[in-house]
Amino acid sequence: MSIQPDDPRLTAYALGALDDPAAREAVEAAVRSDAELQRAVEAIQHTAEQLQEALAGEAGPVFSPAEKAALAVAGSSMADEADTPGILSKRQRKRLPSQSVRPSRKRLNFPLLITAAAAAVLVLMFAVQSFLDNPMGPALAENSAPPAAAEPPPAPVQAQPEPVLEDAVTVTTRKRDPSRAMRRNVQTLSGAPAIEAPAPAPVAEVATNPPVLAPIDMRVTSPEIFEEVVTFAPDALRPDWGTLGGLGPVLADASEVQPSPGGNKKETLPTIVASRFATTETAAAGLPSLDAGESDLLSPDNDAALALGVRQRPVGEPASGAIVAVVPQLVPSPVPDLEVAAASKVRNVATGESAAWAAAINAGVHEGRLQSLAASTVTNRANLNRTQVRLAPTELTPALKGQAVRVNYNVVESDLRGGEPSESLLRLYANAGAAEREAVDAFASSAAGAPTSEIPLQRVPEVIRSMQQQGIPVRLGPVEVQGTVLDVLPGFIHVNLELEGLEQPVPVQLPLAQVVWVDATPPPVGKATTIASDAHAENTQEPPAQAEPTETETPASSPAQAVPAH
Amino acid sequence: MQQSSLSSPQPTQAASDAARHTWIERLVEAHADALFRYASTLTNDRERARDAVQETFVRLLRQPMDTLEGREGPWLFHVCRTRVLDLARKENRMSATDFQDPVAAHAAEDAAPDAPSPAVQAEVSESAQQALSLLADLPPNQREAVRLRFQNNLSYKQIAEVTGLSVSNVGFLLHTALKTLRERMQARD
Repeated sequence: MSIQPDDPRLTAYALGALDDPAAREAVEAAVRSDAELQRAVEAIQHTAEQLQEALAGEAGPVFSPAEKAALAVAGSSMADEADTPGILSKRQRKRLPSQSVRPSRKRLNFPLLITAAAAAVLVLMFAVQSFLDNPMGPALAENSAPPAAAEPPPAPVQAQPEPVLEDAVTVTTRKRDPSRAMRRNVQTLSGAPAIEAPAPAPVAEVATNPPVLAPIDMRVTSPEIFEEVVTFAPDALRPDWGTLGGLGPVLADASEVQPSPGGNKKETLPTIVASRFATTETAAAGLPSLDAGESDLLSPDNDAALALGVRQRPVGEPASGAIVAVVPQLVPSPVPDLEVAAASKVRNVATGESAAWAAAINAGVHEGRLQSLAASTVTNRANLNRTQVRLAPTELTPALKGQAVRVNYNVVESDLRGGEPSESLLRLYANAGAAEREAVDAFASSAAGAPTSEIPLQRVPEVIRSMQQQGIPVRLGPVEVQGTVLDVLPGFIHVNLELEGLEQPVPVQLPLAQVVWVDATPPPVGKATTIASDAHAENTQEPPAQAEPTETETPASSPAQAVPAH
Repeated sequence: MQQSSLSSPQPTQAASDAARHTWIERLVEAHADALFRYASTLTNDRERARDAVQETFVRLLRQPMDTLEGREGPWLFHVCRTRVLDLARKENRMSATDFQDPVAAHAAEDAAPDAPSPAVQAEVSESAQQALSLLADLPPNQREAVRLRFQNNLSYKQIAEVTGLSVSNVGFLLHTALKTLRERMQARD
């Protein structure tokens, strides 16, 4: 049997998972006679041990002893038709009694069934007769219709979001079309002057006693409310907002929803990216960073989309994630004006705090620049102190000039042949592994008579060609480099790259066709960013507090680039 | 005669109920947490994972004991997986394939009361952290196979039973995953 080191059977053998004795013996014989296979087996086993160790020590979700007991009790409860406490969801609680009836059916007395049926018929006849005789009958019948079938009451004017208690209450929400609701929202918000009740509040069906998830109203009657109630504090504005399609803090802090080539729902907001972020609270608590959003959070099938970054849940359902704010749906871009309404009840997993959140953002966007921004009662309770903003090549604008960025650049073969020294350097230094770098150093020292970092740029193509001729591996593929944007040109981004091994940054024109993304994450500020303010921040015109400069902060990313809020 | 035939099975029934209860208790104790963790890796939604596990045990209650003898673990994992996917399809918002390993992302969120403190966790070997980080970067199907194998100690065959893949496919997934992890670990070193 011929076995290569890259053979799944070898992995199975190394893991002790080859059940077939003949196959096992064959692999064993091959391994005995081949030192390379022995090394491969050892490497596999070593990796497996590392994995086992890592996974064994990984903290994960667990059931509490009470929850486990409830799960086990459910078994016996089914037999004795007892109620199932605690852990089981409403759906399961519904199911359990019906299941529990099933086994006892055989023991039912048939004549007793007939008697019961007859009694039920009599009661029903009596009830119908009473109903018809009672002049209030139809009215009562109408009133007693299930709430889901009733028309929603007219919307109150200027209703404010109510605080919501959120707990482990099982709530189901009637399905509705959120995108339609949001479109209504948007139309309403953009209409002037009076705005009438946009989205119908979710109808919650509460399975247990209060606390109850009260539906939150986001009914705005006048655009002025945004400006009157709340404006963003000047120091909440960030220079990079203008580069984000003008979507303001919502998208500035929602990170990383990868643009989906080929076009699907996510295409509507190509600039959002989802990623991890840390909050001051989670950092203080030693909690891991929170993940921000889900791939389909912009799907019209969901009631909510991401705002300010974090997981979303459909409006009306208990939110177990660390949601800062939830936006029902964002309008597709490009649009000249963006209006977003948000309302939800959330719980911050870091603090355990439950609260009602509401947000309404009215951003006028023209040519990708934020013109105006106002919001109602949006508070960044999580104090996001780090965000990640990744831009697709199509979203790069000259507004990035001077900004420190990280660029994910896909090195292709033509980069090495094209005679562009900077790109070759990029490949040479940024993507080289330790072994390669040593090889390069050795070669460069012999060929150029100087340390690698002193190779004249114009000689780099020659060095690379020689490397290739000598069979020194040159890998292609994505590399991540950082630098400062010099300009964004048609088809290119001009970046002053800081390449490893070089003391001075190298200006490079990177073809956008090979740029995977540009991370324009703003440098962290000394104090947690307050994205929005409450009423106290209204009309605050003081200059922004100067953040502590950090390593990654660039002079160019100054608040002066931001367009002030109204 | 009829009276006798009706009453005689009762002690047997009681014994059977007791045995079933013990059986369920044992399975809950042995598998509930593992299932919860597994379900959490399939979905970003911890509550959905919790629901899926609960429904898995509800399904177990309807299952005759003798039909599962010796294969309770894989059966539970398989049902749990199906429930997660069903719930996700229902809500049309499955996203497990697009994001980082949710267990890693929420590792401390619902940690057990006796889970190590953040300070202790910080002392966990760097290589373990690195391995988890690299694991989170693997494609979901490889990640799932790795977790089933190395976290839940399922055999290739059992993993195939859980995932509905062939044993060969499972072998290929694990092989590829280990190879990728090994290469990336070496690259980092």
